[in-house]
Amino acid sequence: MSALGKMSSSRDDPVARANDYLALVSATEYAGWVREDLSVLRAAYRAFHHSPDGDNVRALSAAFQALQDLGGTFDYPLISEIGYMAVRFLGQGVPKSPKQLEFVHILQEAMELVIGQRISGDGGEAGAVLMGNIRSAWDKLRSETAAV
Amino acid sequence: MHESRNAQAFERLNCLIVDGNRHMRTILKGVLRAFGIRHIQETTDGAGAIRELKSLPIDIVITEYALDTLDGIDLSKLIRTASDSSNPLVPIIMLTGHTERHIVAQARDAGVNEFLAKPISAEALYVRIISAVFNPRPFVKAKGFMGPDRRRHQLKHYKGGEQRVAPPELIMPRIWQEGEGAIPGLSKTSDTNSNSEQAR
Repeated sequence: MSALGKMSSSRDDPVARANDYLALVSATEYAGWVREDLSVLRAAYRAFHHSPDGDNVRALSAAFQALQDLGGTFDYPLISEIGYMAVRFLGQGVPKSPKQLEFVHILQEAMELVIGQRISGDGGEAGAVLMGNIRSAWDKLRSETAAV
Repeated sequence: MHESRNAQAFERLNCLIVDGNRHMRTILKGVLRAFGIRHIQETTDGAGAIRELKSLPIDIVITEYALDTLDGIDLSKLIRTASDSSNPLVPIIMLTGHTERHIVAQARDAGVNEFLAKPISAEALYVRIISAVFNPRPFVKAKGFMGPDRRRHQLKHYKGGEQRVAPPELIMPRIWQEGEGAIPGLSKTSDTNSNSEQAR
C-alpha cells in the first residue's frame, strides 16, 4: 500500500483532513505526475508540430488541460495559468499562421520552463515577466487577427 | 451538530467521479475519502457514467465538462431528461477547468447543481457538496428544462410580472427521501404536488 493509501488523520475537520491529504500528494506524488503529464505534452506537441491538424490540436489541448487541472492545487498556479491560456487558444480553432504556430511554441516552452525550474507560487519577478510576455504575445496576435 | 450530521451523511453517500484524467480521479478520491465519503465509484467518460448510474444507487455525481464521446453537459442532460434515466434527480457538480461563461450557462441549463473551477481546493469542493446534498434547490420541471431551480436570488429591482404559471415542484434527492438510502433523521417532507413550471 502506498503512503497515500496508509494516510490517516485524526483531525476532526474534514477540510483539514483533505488538505493534509493534498499536502502529502504534493510531497510524494505530484512531481512524478507532472513529469508524466509533461512527457505526454511533449509528444503531443511534436505530433502537432509535424502535422497541425484537428486531431493533434485536440490531443495537445488535452495535454495542456491535464497540467492545468492540477497545477494550482499544488502551488503551481503558473502551470494552471499557462494551461488555461493554451486550452483557450487551441479551442479557437486549428492554428495555421506562422504567428499562431509560434504562439503555441511559446506556450509549450513556458510550460517547460515553469516545470523545469519548479517555479511555484506566482514566480515572483521572473513569473511576472514570463506571464507578461505570454499575455502581450496573445494580445498582439488578437489585435493582428482583428485588423485582418 | 452540523458536523455530526454531515459526517453521518457523508459515510452513506455513494459518489460517482467522471473524469478522463487519472491523476485528477486519484486526487478526488483522496479528498472525498478525507471528507468521510466511503463509497466512491469512478469512470472516465459519459457512457461509463450512464452505466454506473443504471447499476448503482448514486447520490452525487462529480463530472468534468471535457469528456470523450459525451461531454459533461450532454451527460447532465441525459441524466435529467432521458426517458430511461435511472436517477434524474441526482445532484450533479461540474468540476472543470473550462470556465468560460457560455459553458457555465450551458451547465446551468443542463440541470447541473453546482459548478466548480479546477484546480480544486478542498474547501470549495466541500462547500459545493454540502450545498448540493444538504441545501438542494427545488427541482423545476418545465418544457425544455429539468433541474435545480436556476433562480438562486430574488431580483430586488425586477418590476415585471411572475413568468411562472405555477411554483416549481419540490423534489428532494434520494438521500433525503424516506426509505432505503435515506439518512435517518435527515428526511425532509417532500412537497409532492404535481405543479410544474409551464413557462419561464
